[in-house]
Amino acid sequence: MSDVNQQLKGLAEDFAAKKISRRQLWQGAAALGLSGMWIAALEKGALAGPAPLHNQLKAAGQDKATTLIIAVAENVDTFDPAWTVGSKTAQTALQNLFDQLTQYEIVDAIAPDGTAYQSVNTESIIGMIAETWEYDPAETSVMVFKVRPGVTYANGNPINANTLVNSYKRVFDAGVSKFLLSMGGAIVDSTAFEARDESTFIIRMSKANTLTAKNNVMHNTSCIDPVEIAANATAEDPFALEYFKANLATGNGPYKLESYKPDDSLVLVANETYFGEQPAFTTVILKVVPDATQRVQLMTKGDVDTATKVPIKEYEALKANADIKTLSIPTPLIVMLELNGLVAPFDNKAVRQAIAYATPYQDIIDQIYLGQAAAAKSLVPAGMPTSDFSFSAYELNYDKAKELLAAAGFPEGEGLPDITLSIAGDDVQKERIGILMQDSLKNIGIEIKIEKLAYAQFNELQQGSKLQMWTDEWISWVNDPFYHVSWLAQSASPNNYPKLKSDEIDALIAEFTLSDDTAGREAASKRIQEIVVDESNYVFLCQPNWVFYSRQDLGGYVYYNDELPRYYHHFRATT
Amino acid sequence: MRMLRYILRRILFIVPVLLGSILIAFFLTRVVPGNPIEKVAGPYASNEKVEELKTEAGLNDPIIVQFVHYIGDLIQGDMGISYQTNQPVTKDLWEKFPASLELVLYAMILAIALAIPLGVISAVKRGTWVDHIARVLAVLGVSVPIFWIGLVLLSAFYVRFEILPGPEGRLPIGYPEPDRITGLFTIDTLLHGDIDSFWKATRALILPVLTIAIVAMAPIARMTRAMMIDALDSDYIRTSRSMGLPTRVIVLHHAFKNAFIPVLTLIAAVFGFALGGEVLVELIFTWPGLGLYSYNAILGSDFPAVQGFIILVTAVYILIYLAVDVTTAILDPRVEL
Repeated sequence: MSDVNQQLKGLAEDFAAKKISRRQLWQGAAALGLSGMWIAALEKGALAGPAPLHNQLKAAGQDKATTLIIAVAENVDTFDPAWTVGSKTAQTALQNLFDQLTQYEIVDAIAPDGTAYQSVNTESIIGMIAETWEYDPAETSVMVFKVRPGVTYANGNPINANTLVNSYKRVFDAGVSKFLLSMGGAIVDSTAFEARDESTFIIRMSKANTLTAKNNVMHNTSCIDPVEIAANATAEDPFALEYFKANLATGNGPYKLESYKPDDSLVLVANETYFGEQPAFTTVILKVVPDATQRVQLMTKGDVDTATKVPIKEYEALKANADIKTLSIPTPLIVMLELNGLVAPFDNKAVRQAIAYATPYQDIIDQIYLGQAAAAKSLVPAGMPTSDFSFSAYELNYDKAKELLAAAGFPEGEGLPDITLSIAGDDVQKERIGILMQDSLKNIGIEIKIEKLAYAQFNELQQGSKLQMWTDEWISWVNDPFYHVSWLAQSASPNNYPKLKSDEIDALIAEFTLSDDTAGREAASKRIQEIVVDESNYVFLCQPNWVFYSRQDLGGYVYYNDELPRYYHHFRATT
Repeated sequence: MRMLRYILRRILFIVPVLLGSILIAFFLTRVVPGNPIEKVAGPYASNEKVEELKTEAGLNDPIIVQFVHYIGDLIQGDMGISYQTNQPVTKDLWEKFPASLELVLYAMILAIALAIPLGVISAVKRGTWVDHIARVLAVLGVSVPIFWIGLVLLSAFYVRFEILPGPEGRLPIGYPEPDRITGLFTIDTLLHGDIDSFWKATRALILPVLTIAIVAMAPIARMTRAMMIDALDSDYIRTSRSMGLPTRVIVLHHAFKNAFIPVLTLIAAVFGFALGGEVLVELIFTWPGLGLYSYNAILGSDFPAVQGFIILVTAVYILIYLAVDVTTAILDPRVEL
């Protein structure tokens, strides 16, 4: 390098002495500059000591046997478990970084095409951080959890009953995820969380019920180390909410966060202090690839092991690809057409029912979902306890639709106000559903306009009850009918966007959400389903399958009802 | 001295232009329907919670009050926190700007290196097959969608021939980034002596750079051709020919120097546009740059991020045009300082 400096000096002297022109000076300097960079680079590389850390990391990153790579669609929106309600990437990461008190039992299952797979039994809750749990025999409204001895956070801080009390109070008093614990009035305030002793944590509910235990399984109840909360809390922000939005707390799960770069990747590495079995994949890389086509390309070329949010249009091609395996299983996800009961003409039940009779259900299943969907006939989907399709007679029937429309005062659609079907963001499937609906409704004299709205705008209008009709989908994280109908059918629910209003439904929800009367719950659920079907604010289009795609050599996938993969089950299969 | 005064005068103009863009950016983002709070709060939050969060974020304050607070923060270098990344917008822009700069810089170098000779040759050989081919290429460059070019290149070189990397971003998946010196991976890897990463970063650039270069080349080539034709048809060139000067001297020393000045202005415009506008290229190649960031920010009504992006791109445009104006002043003696 000193040589280069000498030569640069020489050039300057020659220019000063007018031995070379200005052009020759610049040319010489540029050439020396470039070669100087090369020389410096080679010197650094050649004279470097043992491989720098990043080379070691590179070697680990390229080790297929121990590294799992997933192409994901979106960034992390928050690292706070008490606030993860948006990004699937965030929820998935947190699910793998934190254990909860309890979990669902894993069971074997068979897909409709005969493929064996593993799923969870949502009626069977077993321990996770808790070694055991039960309802207190003396007071069945109290859940008692025996904390597993020796469980710690990845930083070595212990997890005991007092830790859990602190953390649950935070979830309840500060997070939007409070809804999971307070649903139906199960928990009224954070004094419900107590430590009987160091290893016994209790949750005191307002009444005995089967719902709260299920709600408690969700990742949103993950416990953050109180030491970390205290270290980052301020007088204005005693729960350190601002800090944990952007910074991950130390987890207690099988993985810990190695790095995160927005729009690039999230890297998890195995947590060597984890109490359970170490995962087969010691490194998990979630690569952010916003474009669905590119996610599929990377997977088919073998650059990633699996990809999320693969459009259903890729199904046939991927199924035929010998390097890819597909698992298509039914789920409680429902796709619905929602009709705003506060806005004309959908304030008229007969008009809503006419729409329900003019919907091309089978075409939607065949053309949009390529057959990878099941019929949906009720608010409580197939696969959820108490689901009953017997109340719905809706099928494509233009004559019946026309009759209803005429009875509503709009024969052949005459006199109807302008109708707009709104679609959020760049959801291609919903747009295609909209086109099918637009086409079908012409047969009964209804002309609709389709409008695409940016996600934020759609959200705002939907929550302000300003949309007329729109398509939406919903899957309940908790496989309980009253959890489900509380969100979609209760008149005060923020998610009852079509503004379905029924005093009878509200009363049944109030009575049976927290009930442990199984027979009563079943009867009430069925009555709610009957009313919802009749009111037709929701037109149930289908229940799309969950399709998991991966390379052939990726084993261990377990389907959970929240659709979040647990990477600690995965392994590299020999093919 | 006169040049210095000229530069200072131009710099002073930056202030009102920047203020104007801040004003427009701020009010436009507030006028367009949609706000990020519903997304932050999620579908389970009650209306009361959403309103509480809106109040905390200052979104329920009168718009003038919001603007005053924003300006006050901006003066201190605080562009707010992005709702999508939960990081300071300044940090996001600091991280993403080099990614876009590296891409566009190499694309423009390639585009200029190809377009200017093409335009010159096309003008000199006007009416010949060389000229026709050059014009067809230029038309294709402006008419074929950029995303189509990117997808075709990916399909050919990544999927079919497997000779170039896929849409993995700036480095292969699992490769840690070099410690930042300039933020340009090709430079930083060299400065760290990591030749392996240098080659990986270079290979990752090839397809997206080519995609942008093909599109950027077209208007530059067309403008160069048009300006060269004007110059070659002028009196002083006729005089040069009649004086027996060699063609090479006439074309490169006389005609091109005069034709280049408007081309330079166009190059600046194309560069500025590419820096903030290559959303589709960044989307297809999973390039973590400003384009993708701004696209997600706009869709999510992420006001701070949108405003920050507009301010940054405006500042970059201003600096680019300042550089062009100074260069023009140096090259063209007719420009009054």
